[in-house]
Amino acid sequence: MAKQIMAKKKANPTASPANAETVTPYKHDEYIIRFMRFRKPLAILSLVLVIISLVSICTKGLNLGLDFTGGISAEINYTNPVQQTDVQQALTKAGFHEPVVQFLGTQRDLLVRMAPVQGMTDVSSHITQAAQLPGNSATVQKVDVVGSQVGNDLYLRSLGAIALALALMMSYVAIRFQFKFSVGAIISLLHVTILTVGCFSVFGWPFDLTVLAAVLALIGYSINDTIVVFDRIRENFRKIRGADPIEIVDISLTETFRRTVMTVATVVLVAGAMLFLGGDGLYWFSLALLIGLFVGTYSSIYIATGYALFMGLSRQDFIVTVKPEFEEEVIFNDPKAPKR
Amino acid sequence: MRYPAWKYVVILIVLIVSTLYALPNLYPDEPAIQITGAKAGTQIDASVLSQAEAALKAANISSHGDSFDGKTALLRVRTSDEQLKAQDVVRRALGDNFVVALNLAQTTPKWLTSIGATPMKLGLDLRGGVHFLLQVDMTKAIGQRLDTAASDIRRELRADNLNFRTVQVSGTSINVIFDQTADRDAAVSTLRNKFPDFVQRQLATTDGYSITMSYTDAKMQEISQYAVGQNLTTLRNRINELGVAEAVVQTQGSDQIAVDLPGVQDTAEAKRVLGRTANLEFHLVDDGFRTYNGGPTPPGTVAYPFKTPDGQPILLKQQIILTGDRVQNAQAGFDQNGSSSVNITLDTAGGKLLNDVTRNAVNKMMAVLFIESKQRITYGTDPVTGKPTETRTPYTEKTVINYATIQSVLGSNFQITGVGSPQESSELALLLRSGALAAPMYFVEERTVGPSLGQANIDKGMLSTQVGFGLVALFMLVFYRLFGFIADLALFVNLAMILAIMSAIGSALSLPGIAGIVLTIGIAVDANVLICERIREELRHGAKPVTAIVLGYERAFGTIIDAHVTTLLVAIILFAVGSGPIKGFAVTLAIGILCSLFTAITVTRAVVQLIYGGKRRVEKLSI
Repeated sequence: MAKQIMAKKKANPTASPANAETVTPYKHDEYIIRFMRFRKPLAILSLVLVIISLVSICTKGLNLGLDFTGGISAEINYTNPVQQTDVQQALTKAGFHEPVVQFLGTQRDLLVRMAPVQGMTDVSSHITQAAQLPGNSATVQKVDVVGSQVGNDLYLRSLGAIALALALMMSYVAIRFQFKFSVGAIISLLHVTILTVGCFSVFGWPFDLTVLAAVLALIGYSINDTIVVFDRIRENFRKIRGADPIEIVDISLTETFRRTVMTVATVVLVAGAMLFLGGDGLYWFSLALLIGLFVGTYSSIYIATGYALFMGLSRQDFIVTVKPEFEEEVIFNDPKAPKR
Repeated sequence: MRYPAWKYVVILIVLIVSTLYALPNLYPDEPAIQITGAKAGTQIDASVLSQAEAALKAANISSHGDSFDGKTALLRVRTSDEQLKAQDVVRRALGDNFVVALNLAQTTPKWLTSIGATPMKLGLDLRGGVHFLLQVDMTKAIGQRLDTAASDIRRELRADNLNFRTVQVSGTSINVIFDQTADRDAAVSTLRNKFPDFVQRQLATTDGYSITMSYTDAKMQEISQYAVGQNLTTLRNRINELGVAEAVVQTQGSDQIAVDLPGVQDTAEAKRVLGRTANLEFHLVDDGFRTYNGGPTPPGTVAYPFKTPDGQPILLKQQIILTGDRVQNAQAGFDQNGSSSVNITLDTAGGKLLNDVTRNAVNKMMAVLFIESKQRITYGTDPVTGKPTETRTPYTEKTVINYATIQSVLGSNFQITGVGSPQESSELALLLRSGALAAPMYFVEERTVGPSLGQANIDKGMLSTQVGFGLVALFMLVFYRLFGFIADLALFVNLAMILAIMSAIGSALSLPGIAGIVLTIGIAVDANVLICERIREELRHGAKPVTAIVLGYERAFGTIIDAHVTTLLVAIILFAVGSGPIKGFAVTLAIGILCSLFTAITVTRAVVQLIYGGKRRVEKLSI
C-alpha cells in the first residue's frame, strides 16, 4: 500500500517527477530575512575593501615577523636580575622593532631577537647602548645577524600553503556541489584571506607564522558555513515551488542563520579568551582569527551565495537526473493509476 | 531509538585509556641533574653517586630521590636555581669523564609509568630546552683537505716519474721538497695542470728546493661553505636520530652553528650524540706493526693507540684509503660468530677507492681510525677579579677502534667486526650513519633555556584554555540546556583524549599547540550545535522527540563530516609547511578534530540514549 501512496504523490502534476521528497508549498507568512536585498551595495563595499587591502599589501606590504625575515639575535648579560619587559621597552625606545626577550638559564642572561634594522652597520654597539638600564649595566655577550635565506624560503612556502589550501577547498566544494558553487566558495575564501591579511597590512600589525596559521585555519573553517548554506540552498531548490532563486536563497539563509551564528559564536568565544588572556604569544593569532571569523561569516552569507546568484543560479542546476528504478516504479504502478 | 551495546563498550574503553594516559600530566616534573658517562660504555655506580652527593652536601645543596641505573644517575633538587648550582658543583667534582646535565625528573607514580603513561613534553617556548652553539674548526677542515691533496700529489708525481724528496703539510699549505732545481722545474707544470685549485710559490731553502702550494681564495671559501653546510646537514640528521621534532638548526655568522632543542630535557644524550664530532679514516696497517713498540715511526707511517688513548700503539700506513664522509649507511648487527659488528655501505666513489686499495692487499690488515674532537675544561681563578674561570682547550683524540685482516677484495658493502658491546656498535653505527662531519666542531656555548618565560606562557595558555572552555560550556548550557550539558561532557572527554594522545605519541606541546587546543574547543562543539539545531528543526516540523533525535544525528552527520574534512585538510597543509610553531598548532588541531568526530557524535549520542532511550514515552526534549 505504501508504494501506491508514494506513486500517487509522484504522479501529482505540480510536482516534478524527479522530486522524491515531500513538497512544501512556498509559504509567505514565514518570517524571512531578506538578506539578498542588500547584496549589491554589500558587493560594492566588499570590492572596495578588497581593493584597499590589495593596494595596501602591494604598496605598504606586510610587517613580516622574524620568522619570515631573519633578524638579529643577541645575548645580553646584566649585573642584576632584570624584568623582560624592561629590556623590551629599552630596546624598542632605541629603535629596534619588536624585540623578543627570553631568559637563558638565569634572570641575568637574556636572548633578544629582533628584526633587522635597515642601514645599521654596527649592530653590536647599538644594542649595548640600548640595553643599558638605570642602575643595571648590560654587557652584550654576542650578536648575530641571522641570514634571511631561511625566512625567504619559509615565506615562499607559506604562500604556497595558502594557495594549496584554497585549491583543496575549491576541489572539495566542486566534488560536493557543482562548479558554480565552488567558484562562489573560492571567491568567498579569497575575500576572507585578502581582508584578514589586508587588515594586518593596513594597520601594520606584525604578520608572523602564528598569523599565517590563523589564516590557514580560517580557510578550513569558514568554508564550513558556506557548505551548510549551499546544502540548504540545494535542498530548498528541490523542495520549494513557486519561489524565485533570490527568495530561495533568502529562505535558506534564514533557516541556517541561527546555526551559522551559533557555530561562529563558540569559536569567537575561545578566540576572545585567547586574545585577552593568552599573552603576547597568542595575541596576533587570535586577532587574525577574530577578524577572519566575522569576515568569514559575512562572506559565506553574501559573497558565496551572491556570486552564485550573479552567475544565474537556477532550479535547473539542481534537477537530479532521473533514477532508473524510479521509472520502473511508475510503470509498475501505472495500471492502478485510473483508480485515482 | 536503539543504540548498539558495543558502542558503549568502545566508549568506556576509550574513556579509561584516555584518562590513564592523560593522568601523568597532573604530576609536574621536578628539577634534577643527570650524570652520564662521556662515552657509551661508561658505567655509573654507587661511588659516582656518593661522590656527587658529597660535593652537593659540601655546597649546601640538598638532593633527594637520588638514583642510578648503570648508565645514568639522577639527583633531584628543589628549585631551578639549585639545579644550576648543583650542575656546576657536580661537574667540577666529577671531571671530564662524565657529562652533567640539567634535566627534569618525572614524578609520575610507578604504576602509570609501567603502562607507558608519561606526561606531555613541552616545547622550548613552554619549558625551555637546550640551546647549543657550535664552532666549526675551519683550520682543521682545510687541513683535512690538504692531507688528501698531499697523497694525491705524491701519487701524481710518482705516476709521472718525477723525483721529489718529500711532501709535507704545514699549516694551510703543502710543501713539496726536491733535491735539485731541475726536479722542481720538471714538476711545476704537472702540479699546475693537475692541481688548479692551488697557488704555487717556488722557494729555495736550506733543506732543498721546494714548491709551496696553498689553496686559492675562491677554493678556501668553497671549502668553508661546504664544511658548514655539510656539518649543518649532519647535525640535522643526528637530531633526527635523537628523535627531536621541532629542533632549529641554523648557521650563525660564517663558521658557527646554533642548535635549539625544544622539549629535550635529556641534554646529556643530546650533547653526546651532537658533540661526538667523530670521523673515521680507513688505513692499511703497516707490515712492521708486530715489531713496533712505540718510539719514532718509520717514514710513511703513523702510529695510533688501540681502543683507549693509552692503548697499544698500532703502526699504520700514512695514506688514507677513505674517510667517513664516503659512508652512506651503517647498521649495527652481529657477525657469524655472534659478536657485535657494524655493516657499512659506502658511496660509489668510496667503494671504488676501497676496491682499488684492497685488490693488492688481500690478507693484509686494514685499520679503522676513530677521530674525536673533544675539549678539556680546566677551572681556575681570574687573577684580577678573583672570579672562577672556565678554560676550554680543544684537542683531538685518535684511536684505532678496529683492525682486521682483509679477507677479500672489498667493495661498497663491508663489515667491521669486533666493535665491542652491542651498545657501542649501535652508537658507532649511529655516528657513521648520520654522516661524517666535514670539519670538527666544538661546543662554544651550551645553555639551557630557562623555564621562567615558559611558565608564564603555560599559565597564560592554561588560563585562556580554562576560560575558553568555561565560556563555551556556559554558552551550550544556556542555549541547548540538557543537550548542551551533554555536549560539554563530550568536550571534556575530547580534551582528555587530546592530552592522552599528545602524551602517548610524545609530541611536544608549544604555545601555538595550546592555541590549537583552544581553537579545537570552539570548533569541536560546532558539531553539537549542528546536531542540536537539526533536532530543533525536526521538532519544529512536527517530528516526535525520539524521531527528532534520530533524524537530527543522521542529517547533521554529512555537514559535520564536511567541517572535519576541510579543517583536517588545512591542518595537514600546516603540518607540511613544517616550521616549529606551526607544526605544533597543526598537530593539536588535527588530533582535536579527529577526536571530536568521536566525542561529539558517538559519545553524546550514547549519553542521549542513556537519558531518553530507557523511557517509554518522551514528551519533551530539554534542548
